[in-house]
Amino acid sequence: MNLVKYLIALFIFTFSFILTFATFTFPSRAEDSEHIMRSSFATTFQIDFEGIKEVYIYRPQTFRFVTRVIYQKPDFVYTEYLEPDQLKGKIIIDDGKRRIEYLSVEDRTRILPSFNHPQMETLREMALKVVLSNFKISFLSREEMLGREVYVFELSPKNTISPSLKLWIDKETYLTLQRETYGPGGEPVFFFRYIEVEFNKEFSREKLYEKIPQTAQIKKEPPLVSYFTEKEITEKLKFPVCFPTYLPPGYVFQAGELTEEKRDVKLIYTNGLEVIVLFQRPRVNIMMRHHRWVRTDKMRIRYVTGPYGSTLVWDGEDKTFVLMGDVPVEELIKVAQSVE
Amino acid sequence: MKCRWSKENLSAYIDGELNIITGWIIKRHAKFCPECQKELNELQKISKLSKLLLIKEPEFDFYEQVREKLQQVKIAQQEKPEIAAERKSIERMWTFLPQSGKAALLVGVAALLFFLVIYPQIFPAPSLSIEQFEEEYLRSRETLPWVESPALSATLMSAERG
Repeated sequence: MNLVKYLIALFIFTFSFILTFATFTFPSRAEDSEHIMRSSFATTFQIDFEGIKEVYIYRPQTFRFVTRVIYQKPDFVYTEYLEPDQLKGKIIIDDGKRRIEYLSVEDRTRILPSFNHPQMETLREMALKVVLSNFKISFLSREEMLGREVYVFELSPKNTISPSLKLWIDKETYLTLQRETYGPGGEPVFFFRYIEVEFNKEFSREKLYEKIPQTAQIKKEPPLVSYFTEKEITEKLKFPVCFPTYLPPGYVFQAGELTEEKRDVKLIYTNGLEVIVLFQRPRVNIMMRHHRWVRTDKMRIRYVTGPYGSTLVWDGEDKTFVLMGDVPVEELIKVAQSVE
Repeated sequence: MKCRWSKENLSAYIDGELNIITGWIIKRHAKFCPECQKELNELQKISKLSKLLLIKEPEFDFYEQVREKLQQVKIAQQEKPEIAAERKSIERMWTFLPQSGKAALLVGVAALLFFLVIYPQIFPAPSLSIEQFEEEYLRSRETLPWVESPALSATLMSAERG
């Protein structure tokens, strides 16, 4: 009798232990996976971190980059290129107000709008929603990487043209330590991993600024960037805006931008991972090199494919259009044909 | 008498139109009559030459076609005076046009040529480089959280361009 009681107690203990272990170690529920994804999107603005990152891009030639990355709460990002030799010494500092790009080879500095300004949070939040609706998130395993515990996730697309991803996310900080991206055919597209990491490291921003020659003298303010909805764009522009009626699977309208003269408009569409951008402006001659032609019933389109995606250029009745995106060129042609 | 009869039938003999007996009589007479023999030889030469020249018979509508062509040529010749008259009328207009009219016409033609040919060369239409659009595209792309390493795509583009 005692033995039966003992066995029952042992079973209850074992069951409780497994349940507790599973609850605290595996993100078994979909909400937990989403929470980790959400946290990983914003983690670069919530940690003090330094790491060496190795990046491979296959398009179809293989490009390899090695960068030193520093994150400092709440909005500071420092990137220094260590490899390849022709980019060695290139530094980018984004402090939430402006973005300074120093090209060591040309000894030239550019001031651009920050990628970390508050308005970007809205875009990031939207990108996250689009990712969650376009991909099925699966928890694969728990592993150890660079002496830290990581969750391994897989993101499978719900359509046929989006890539699939595999992520290694740090359990403690939610920083993505490794990411692999595969094209619709399963071919590798992008790969990065940290080869060195150091968390909670203190450093002086001033010393980092000093790495860019004459930073103190750079007083130039970057151009202001504002994002608008489709309705706002239509109201603000001086000429009627054309919108595409077809978008590749998974893509939605993200935002619109205007130039200061309100003559040029830039419409941005996203699937959460990539963007398609449609520029339109009063008719102008656009110079392109090594382009090809495609003729449809309505138009003649010039196009070129580069490492960043494809570019299409065509003229309407009184406007010139430029369409760019990292999707198959056939999809971009469909978008171009649907512009009304 | 026989010579005369023979000469009259020589052509028929060469063309093979006579019966065997009549043909044999002419052939035998020509053998003993040098005059008829000479004429027979000449006629045979002419016959051979004429066979060589008659290579192909003309098409059945050959003469019809020739007739139509001749009519067209005639019509064309009839139109020529009209064209000439038009030319003369233009020349007359130009002659009677006052000096100021001539000057205005020349200035107009010169202006047309200038704006169509020379002006676009001096003041070309506004043009932009595609690279400006590419930079804008990459800026939008890199605002996304999972486009890793800020400015990587721009760097990649520069690397691609060499």
